[in-house]
Amino acid sequence: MKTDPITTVKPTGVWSLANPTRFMGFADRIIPVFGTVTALLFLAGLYMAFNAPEDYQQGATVLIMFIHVPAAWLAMMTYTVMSISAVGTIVWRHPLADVSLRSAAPLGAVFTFLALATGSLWGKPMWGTWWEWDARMTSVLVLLIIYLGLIALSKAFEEPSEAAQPLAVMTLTGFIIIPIIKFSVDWWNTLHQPASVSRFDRPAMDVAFLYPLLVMALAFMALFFTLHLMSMRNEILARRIRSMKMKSARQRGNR
Amino acid sequence: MFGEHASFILPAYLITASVLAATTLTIVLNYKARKTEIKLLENEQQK
Repeated sequence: MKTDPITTVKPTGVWSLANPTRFMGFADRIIPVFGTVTALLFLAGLYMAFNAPEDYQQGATVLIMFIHVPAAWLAMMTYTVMSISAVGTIVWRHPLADVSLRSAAPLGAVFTFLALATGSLWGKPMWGTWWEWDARMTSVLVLLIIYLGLIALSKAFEEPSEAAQPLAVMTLTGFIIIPIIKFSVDWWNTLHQPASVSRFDRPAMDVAFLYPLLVMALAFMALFFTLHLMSMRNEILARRIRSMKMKSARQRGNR
Repeated sequence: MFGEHASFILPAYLITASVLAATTLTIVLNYKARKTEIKLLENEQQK
C-alpha cells in the first residue's frame, strides 16, 4: 500500500511545535524551569555586581553597566529573534512564527527603553549630559521607534493572519538598524565608548567586571525567553478566543 | 556604598526592576484573564 509521505512523516525540531496545542503543553512545562533559572541567575549576577570593585575612573557608577549593557544587548537580540521569526513566516510559513514575532516586539521595546533610560542615568554623571545625538544613542532611539511602529502595525489589522506578511516584511526591512547600532561606535566619531566585550580580539575589560556582566547578561536572556514563551502562550489563547467568538456569532446567526 | 552618584545608580536599578516587574505582571495577568475568558466561552458553547 502506497503511503503519502506528507501525512506520514513525523514532524521534528521546531516543526514538532507547529501545533499550537502541542506548543502550549511544551510552554507550560518549560516556563517554570526558565523562570527558576532566571531568578537564580539574577541573584548570582546581582551578588557578583554589588561585590565587584569600584572602577578607578567611574567609581560605584560602574554598577549601572551591569543593567545598561545587558538591556542593550537584549534590545538587539530580541530584534534578531523577531527577524528569524519573520523569515519563518515568509519562507517556511511556520504557524507559530508570527506568534513569536508579535510576542517579542513589546519585550524588545521594553529592553530598548531600559537601555536608553539607564544609559541616560549613566551618561549624566560620566559625560555631564543626559543625552547626545551621537551615532550609538540615536540609532538605539531609532530601534525603539521601529519597535513601536511594528507594535502599532500589528494592532492595525483586525485579523492576525492578515498582518503576518506585512509585519514580517517590515521587521526584516528594519533589521538594517542592528549592524548600524553595533558598528556605530567604529564608523562614526561618537561620545559612546567603543566595544569592550564583543570584539574580534579579547575583551578589553577586567574579569572582575566581565564575569558579573556576563552573568547579568545571561539573566536578562533567560528572562527574555521566559517572558517570550509566556507571551506566545497568551497570543495563542487570544487567537483561540477570537475563533470561539466567531464560531459563537456564526451559530447565533444560523438560529 | 554607592558614593556620590547614588542618585543616579539607585534610580537606574529601581527603574529597571519596576519596568521588568510590571512587564512580567502584565503578561501573567493577561494569561489569567484569557484562561478565564476561554472557560466562560466553553461553558457558553456547551449550553
